[in-house]
Amino acid sequence: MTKLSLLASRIYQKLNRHARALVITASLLVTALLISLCFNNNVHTDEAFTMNLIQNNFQGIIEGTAGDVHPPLYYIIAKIAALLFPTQTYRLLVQKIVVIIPVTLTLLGGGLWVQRKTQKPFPGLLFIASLSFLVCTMEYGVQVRMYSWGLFFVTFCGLEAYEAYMTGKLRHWIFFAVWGVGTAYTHYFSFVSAVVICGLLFVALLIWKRKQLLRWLITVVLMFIAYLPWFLVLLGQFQAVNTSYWIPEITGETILSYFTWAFGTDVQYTTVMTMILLVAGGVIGLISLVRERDSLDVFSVFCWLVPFLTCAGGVIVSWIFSPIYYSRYVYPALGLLCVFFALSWSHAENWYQLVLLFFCCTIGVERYREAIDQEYLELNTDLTMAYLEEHLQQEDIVVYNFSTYRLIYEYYVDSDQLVDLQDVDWENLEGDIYFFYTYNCEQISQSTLDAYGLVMEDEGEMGVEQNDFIMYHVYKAE
Amino acid sequence: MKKILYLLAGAVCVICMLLIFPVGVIRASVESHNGADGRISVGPVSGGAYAEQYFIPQFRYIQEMAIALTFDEISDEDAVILFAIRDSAGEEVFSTSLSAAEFTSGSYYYFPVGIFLKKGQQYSWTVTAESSSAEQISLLATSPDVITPVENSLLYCNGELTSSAAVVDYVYGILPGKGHILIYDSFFATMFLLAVMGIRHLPEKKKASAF
Repeated sequence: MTKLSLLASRIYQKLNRHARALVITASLLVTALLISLCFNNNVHTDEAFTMNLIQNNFQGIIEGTAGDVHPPLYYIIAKIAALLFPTQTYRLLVQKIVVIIPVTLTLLGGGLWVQRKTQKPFPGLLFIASLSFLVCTMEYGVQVRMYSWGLFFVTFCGLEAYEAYMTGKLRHWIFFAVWGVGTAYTHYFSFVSAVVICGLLFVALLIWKRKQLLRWLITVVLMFIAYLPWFLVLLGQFQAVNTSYWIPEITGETILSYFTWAFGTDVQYTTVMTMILLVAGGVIGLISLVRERDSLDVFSVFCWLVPFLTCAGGVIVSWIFSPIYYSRYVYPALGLLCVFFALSWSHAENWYQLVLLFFCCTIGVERYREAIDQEYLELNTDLTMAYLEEHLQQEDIVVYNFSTYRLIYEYYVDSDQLVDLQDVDWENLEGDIYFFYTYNCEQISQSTLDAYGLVMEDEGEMGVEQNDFIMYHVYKAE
Repeated sequence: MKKILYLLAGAVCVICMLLIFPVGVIRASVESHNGADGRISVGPVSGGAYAEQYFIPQFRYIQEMAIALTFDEISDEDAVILFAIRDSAGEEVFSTSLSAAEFTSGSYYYFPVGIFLKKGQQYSWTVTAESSSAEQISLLATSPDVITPVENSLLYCNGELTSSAAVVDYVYGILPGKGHILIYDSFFATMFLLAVMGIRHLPEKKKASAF
């Protein structure tokens, strides 16, 4: 053995001894990156929906979410956080922390699990790096929505399914059921992922461990009973979605866009590069599966099947009924895809796993830069808020011409002061108007201005997240 | 045999890296256009008439361009729009013939250019319509005294100077930044090392004496 390989071997032994510490440190570092993206005041439509919904009491939240298209668990968690930290100024920050917590738990739990199973220092880190950087966690890990909680539940549901299969211990079956029910109450396509996991577990038991099938049956029945209270609501929501929903028809192009959504960055061909690594990892995993017939390799393939079948299920249901599947709905299942990635590449040589880690980190730098742009640099929100804070008086009103965005405006402006352009009472104006003119929507006509003796001044380009507009100050001529 | 495979994989890796930089087979698009400025029609550019827009490119490589024409209807299906770019000496550096039927009045029409120009030097492009029918085809331009985008300077219609600028979109292809090059190169290195790992695991050729 040469001196160099001896040194490498020593370093590896040392890293292996501290593998858990490495995983914990990496998880905390990624958490720090996510937290650094939270210090802004930007919300888009769905986040505004969350912020408005959690202003209700628990009953109102359940009724509100039943009237929408999502299950209630995430909103209840968000409400509990809002009650525990009753701050108006930092309410958005509190909610962003609420969605980061499950990402951290997934990174930590998943990373340690992979490390423990493979008994190597790098696969755990590969799981963390792939989940943080190769997929769109930098965006969805800070969105005030249910996706990060879905990620947590689906990933742990999958891992517990493996543990329940391997050990047959009661606690693993209980946790499998708990995470599965949590999954179903978080997002409907997480529910689909949970159904896929249950199905794959059934297949595995049927082939290799038939004695445990009864446990599986009891667990699944209990899970269904736990989900029953919401099941009727789900049917009602499905009816509503079936008749009219905003999701466009699914074509070949749409399916391709699922990949660019999950793996794409501003750097061209990132999706292709990531896909190549996933396929190459899959090939290595399959070779190992054929050679060694290890249960962990079978589990790795099942981990890949969960997002694949979730997506395929959504597409097929959309084709049969009406479009109900959208790219981001697979996000909760991507944790298991990263488990697949890490387990597959765990068969590669150790030095190569380090190379892969380096590549993931280069993508991570780009993802973080883009996230910083998205959260801090590409927005006019601060400018708009500063302007309104300086000028908007009690008797003034804010008029908008883009009705779809009322929900977002309500997050920033008192709803009593917000008026749709169609509903302005021109004859009884008491104060000034601050008009959010969104391009290509209706403008205040010159005849209206003339009729009521008003002057309209252009105050410049402002906006909120995903909505640029021109701010006009409209006031009575002297 | 293995040595040859290592060399081959290494050569492919280096070539791929060089293709990214300095060759630039992958380029990021940067657009420069008129935005939401007012619009007027200038011209005509049909019936033997033409428009000539002077411009100074902001980057070396123009991937594609878009111009906008206005017309009521083009009855001649074979009508073509001739577009050419000339350098300051009047030498043609690019020319293309576009089917007028594919244009929509008042909208951008994109077409590939794919030429390297000298950044900062003045060029001009001309546009003229060749049609057997008598319809008037004009060029869409900005409101008087609005000269945008930054590339544009003087716009002549049939030799007469106007105070507008053509409505145009210059789409440049720029080399990837350092961060992007690092991603590409690390990917190629990752692939090369994957090949190395694979080659190492290839079975050694058995010696003849073994038989």
